[in-house]
Amino acid sequence: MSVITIERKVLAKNDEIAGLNRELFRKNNIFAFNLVSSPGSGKTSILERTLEYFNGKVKVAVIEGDVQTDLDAQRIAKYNVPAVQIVTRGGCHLDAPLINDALKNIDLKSIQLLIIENVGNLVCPANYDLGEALKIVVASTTEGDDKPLKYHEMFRNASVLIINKIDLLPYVNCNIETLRHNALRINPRLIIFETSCTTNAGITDWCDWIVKQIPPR
Amino acid sequence: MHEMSVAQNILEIVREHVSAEEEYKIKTIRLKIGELAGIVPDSLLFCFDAVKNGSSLHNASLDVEYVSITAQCKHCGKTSPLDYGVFFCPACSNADITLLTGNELNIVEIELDD
Repeated sequence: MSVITIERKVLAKNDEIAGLNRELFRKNNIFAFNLVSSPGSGKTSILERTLEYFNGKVKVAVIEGDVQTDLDAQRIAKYNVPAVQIVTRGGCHLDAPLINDALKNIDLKSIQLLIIENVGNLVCPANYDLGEALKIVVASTTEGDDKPLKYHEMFRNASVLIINKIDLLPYVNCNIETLRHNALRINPRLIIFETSCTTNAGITDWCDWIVKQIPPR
Repeated sequence: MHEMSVAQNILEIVREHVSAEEEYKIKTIRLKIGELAGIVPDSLLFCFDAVKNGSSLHNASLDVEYVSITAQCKHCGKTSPLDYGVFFCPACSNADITLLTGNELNIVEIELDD
C-alpha cells in the first residue's frame, strides 16, 4: 500500500481561473459583481432599473446566467449594453471557466462595470468564486423574512443585500425589520439597500453606491 | 446540487497526481469536507460512483472526514465550536466572528494498492 499526499482544494481549478478573471478586471479597472438570489426575486428587474438610471453614463456589460433561454439577455440588450448569455442547461451555478469564456466576447477596455447575474439559486452559487469583487444577494419581500437563516452560506459570502419588492410589504407575510435582523445576525458586515423596481424606490441610492465602487481610470 | 461536478473535479485532480497505470491501483481517495462546504455527502458518494464507473478509477472509493465548524470571536477572542447555521460566539453572543474550520472541500491523499 502506498500513499500519495495531495492536499488540494477540490475547487482549486475554479479558484485558479477566478484569479485570472480577477486579474483581467484589475488590469482594465473594472468593478465586477456577482448578483445572486433565488429565482424570481427581481435580479433582472434591478439590472433594468440600474441601466435606466445610468442611461449610458456608466459603461456596463452584463453576463446573464440561466438554466435555459436567452430571455434575460434580450431584456438587457434593449438598454444598448453588451450582454452575453450563458445557458447552463441544467447546471445550478456559474463557474469561473464559464465567465472566462464569456469575457472573450466583451471588449473589457470599453467597460467600467461588469454585472454577472448568476443562475437563480441560493445554494450552489455561494461556493463558486467567479473572480468578482463581491457577491450581492437579492432577497425579495415575497420570499418572507427567514431566507438568511435558511440559506446562510449565501448571506455570509455576500457583501451587500438588496431587499427588493418593498412596495409589496403591505400585502406579504414579511417583516422587513426581522429580515434585516436575520441577515445581520448571519453577516454583521452586510451593506443593505431596500428597493422596488415598480416604484423605483431605493434605486438611486443603490446606483450611487455602485458608482463609488468603480475604480478610477 | 453540484456534487456531480465536484465528483468530476475529484477525478481530474487525482489523475494529475498519478501515472496512467497507477490510476487502476487507486483504492481510496481521502477527502476533508467541512459542514459549510455545501456538499451533501451521500449525494457526493452517489455521484462519485456514477463518474468512476467504466473509468480507470473504478476501484477507487471515497473516504470522507467531516470537519465541524469552529470560529474565533473578534470581540472576546474565544475559539468555539459552532452549531450548523448559528453564526455568533457562544461565549459572548457577538456575531463578528472569523471562521476557522468548516469550509473545507479538500483532497488530502490517495491510497494505492501495490
